Amino acid sequence: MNLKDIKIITNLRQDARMPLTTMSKKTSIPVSTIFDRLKANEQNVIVKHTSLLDFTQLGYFTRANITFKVDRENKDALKEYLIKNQSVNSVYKINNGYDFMVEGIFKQIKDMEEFIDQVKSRFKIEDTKSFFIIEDLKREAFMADPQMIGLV
Amino acid sequence: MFKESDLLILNHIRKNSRQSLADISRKTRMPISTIFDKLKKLESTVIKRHVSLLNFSELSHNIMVNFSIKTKDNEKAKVFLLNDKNVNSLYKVSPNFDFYAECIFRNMGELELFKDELARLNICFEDNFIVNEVKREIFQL
Repeated sequence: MNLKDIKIITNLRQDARMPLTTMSKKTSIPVSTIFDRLKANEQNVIVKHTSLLDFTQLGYFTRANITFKVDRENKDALKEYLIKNQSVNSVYKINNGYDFMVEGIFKQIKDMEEFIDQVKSRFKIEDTKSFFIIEDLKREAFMADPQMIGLV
Repeated sequence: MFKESDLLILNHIRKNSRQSLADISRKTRMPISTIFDKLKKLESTVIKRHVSLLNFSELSHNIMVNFSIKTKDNEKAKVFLLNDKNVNSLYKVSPNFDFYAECIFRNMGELELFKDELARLNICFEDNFIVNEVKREIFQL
């Protein structure tokens, strides 16, 4: 990974839909080089280009982080269930005594409670913790500022 | 209020925000001009930002830790966390904690320095290590 890659990545972190011509003007890197480097980076360092949404504007007023501790035999099955569940936005494997952390998006608190109840009824859940996300103060800021290129 | 066609565009953009309007048009059978107009409207309302998600370990940042934070001085903690380079995302949360921070570190040394700074600011926290990101931003409308 060289300085050109980092410049490209920081610009994509600011705006993943940035046209290559705009990025070329901002970074002084030729469009063809950006194209090639982008293709290469999409094979390893870039997981996905996506869009962050304000879910409340879409009628989803409850966002929560829910951690689950599950019986060892049920771990894989729970993981598959969480990945396919329509209320789940992100799933992480964690290690502080719990197994998975889930970011869930729900229309209301009742839906979140139903989700947790469903998980508990299908799998041997030993413990669960949750909290509500009230406000985003900062999202995906790491390497999103081309001024901070010295970071990496 | 958002129509079914808006949600369809959002789902496509969420899967790959670098898709061309022509690609989205082919998949949705909506005219490019309609998609262009709708996307502009969505970008001023429900879309906060288009962002590329990274595999941080490929950038030599192998340690991801999430902190649940409780503090008596919310403003001081918020200023520190908003400005710290290791904080990738920061949320105001409830109950039991005030903030939730997703943090990225190059090594354990950087993590320990961060924890020392939290202690210096009298910030209480619980931390958990992210062993693996199974899925991110997969919610579909």
